[in-house]
Amino acid sequence: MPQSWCTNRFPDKKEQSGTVYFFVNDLKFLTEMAKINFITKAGVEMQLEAASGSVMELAVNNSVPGIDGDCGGVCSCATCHVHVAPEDWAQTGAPGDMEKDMLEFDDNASEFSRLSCQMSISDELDGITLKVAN
Amino acid sequence: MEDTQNQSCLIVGASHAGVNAAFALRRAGWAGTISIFDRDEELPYHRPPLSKGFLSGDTTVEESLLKAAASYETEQIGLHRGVSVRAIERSAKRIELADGTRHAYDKLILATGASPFIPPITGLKGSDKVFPLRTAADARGIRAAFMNSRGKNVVIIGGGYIGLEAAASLRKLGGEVTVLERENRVLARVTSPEMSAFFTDLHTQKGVAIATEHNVSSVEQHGDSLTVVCAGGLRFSADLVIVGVGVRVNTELARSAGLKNSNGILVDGRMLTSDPDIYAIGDCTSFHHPRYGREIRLESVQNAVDQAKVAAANICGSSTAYDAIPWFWSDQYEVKLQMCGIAAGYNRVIVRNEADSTPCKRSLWYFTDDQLVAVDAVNHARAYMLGMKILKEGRSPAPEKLADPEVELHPRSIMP
Ligand SMILES: Cc1cc2nc3c(=O)[nH]c(=O)nc-3n(C[C@H](O)[C@H](O)[C@H](O)COP(=O)(O)OP(=O)(O)OC[C@H]3O[C@@H](n4cnc5c(N)ncnc54)[C@H](O)[C@@H]3O)c2cc1C
Ligand code: FES
Repeated sequence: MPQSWCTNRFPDKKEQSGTVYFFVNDLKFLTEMAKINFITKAGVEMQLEAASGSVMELAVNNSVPGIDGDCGGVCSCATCHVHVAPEDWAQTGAPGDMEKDMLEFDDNASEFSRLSCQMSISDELDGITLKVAN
Repeated sequence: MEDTQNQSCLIVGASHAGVNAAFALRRAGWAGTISIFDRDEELPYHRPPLSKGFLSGDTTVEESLLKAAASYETEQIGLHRGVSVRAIERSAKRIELADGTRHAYDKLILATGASPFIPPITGLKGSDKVFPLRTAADARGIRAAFMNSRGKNVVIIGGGYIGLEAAASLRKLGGEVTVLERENRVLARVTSPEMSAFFTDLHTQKGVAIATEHNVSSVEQHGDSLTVVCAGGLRFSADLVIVGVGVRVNTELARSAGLKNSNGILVDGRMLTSDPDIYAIGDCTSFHHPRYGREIRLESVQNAVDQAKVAAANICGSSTAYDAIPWFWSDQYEVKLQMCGIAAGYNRVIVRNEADSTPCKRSLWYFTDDQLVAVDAVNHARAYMLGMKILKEGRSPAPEKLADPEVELHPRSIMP
């Protein structure tokens, strides 16, 4: 990867000569894929990976049964509902206000429910397991 | 299911309905070939962002694809873009493309949708500064014309959802926007006077001029600038004009093939047309909705996707009937409107504003006598989902409890 391209990561610091901004190893994060495990209603396990986008998009593009993403990710259809494995809850974090409202009256909802269109993929999510709700 | 290995399913239209049908067919076990044809050159994309995040520059068409390009390959779905279907030969069970080639089908799905209606007003047709808003190309054209214009003056003909969303998106970018509506309120065909008033206030506060009872009689072009002339002589100058006055259903193919039509291609609860091997889904269909007891035609993503799933299930042999509750949304500025049910014919509306909520969470509950028929929720996903749940169960909350903001919005509190 050309060095000039790399330094653009911190354009405001470009002028400070003599400073090492990052090690080449750090570049890994640019291409780092987060692996996400899906378990469908039928019990099928699928491991998928992506570097960006939402968890819903990853699932839709790989035809994970039960994640339809009908509204395109604008928090209006709840067809992207997943249950986060309890041990991964700290990694995903709790739903936002609107997301919580969308889930409250869902008979399928649990304390670990999330709408996967509201979860954006980053290395933070690497290794988590999600059970598809529908 | 009968063996579909050597069968062919063709789909006309690669948008919300057609694309979802193709993938639903695979999931339902269709083992034969699947080919989708669309005259649009683009990889199939979500239309709702076109008037929202795309116009305002918050998202791109590439970020709004219905499915990634690779998904079509993985699922072995043949996607033929930039191809127009010219005719259906029902007796030979094949379709003819614009270039004369023919493709045979065992099952055919029509997902031809609708096209923007351009009213016969002098000067609307043929101008490169007048745009409908249905396709990615339309939206790109609007964005380019807007960005390149000096005055950023926009006149929008038609105060429906698309017109108002476009107004909000371009206003966000600093446009001087005027919405001209023929009726005495915006959204006249699609929502209640209460909601119309809410959106008129919202746009007015944001600096968009809303002019109702303004009937456009002609559009004049002088060089780069346009003048929109209304009956009565009022004139509005514009750098570009967006026409959002509704659609014409794409029924030509079905009509010339002799399929039954009314307000759209007529289908039964399984999405089957009057030909036992031809299904129709999405904006182009007219159907009897069991929940409402009458024939309707819907223009929404929900309807397109749910009908696609029903058609696919029936084609693959599991008898399923469509009876989904309609839902819809609209984003304007920071306001999110979510709707479920069909309000038509209501005779009572309860307006509920949640105490101490900023921005105000508001919901409108429409009743026909004592029966809840629809809910409109403004920034209030909780009311929207509660409404959806109650409508699904066929129950109705007690209007006087709903009307009282002190009573919590929860089934345990608002039911009679
Ligand atoms: C700007 C905009 C904003 C919207 N916002 C919302 C929203 O917020 N929420 C919501 O629920 N809905 C919204 N809608 C409505 C929603 O997009 C439509 O209901 C949906 O697109 C219908 O899908 P469809 O597949 O039935 O038809 P269409 O999307 O109309 O697709 C039909 C396709 O068939 C193709 N076609 C037709 N005839 C032929 C032929 N003879 N040969 C080849 N191809 C052919 C067309 O090119 C087209 O791509 C919006 C629509 C627009 C335009
Ligand atoms: S995709 Fe519709 S709510 Fe997540």
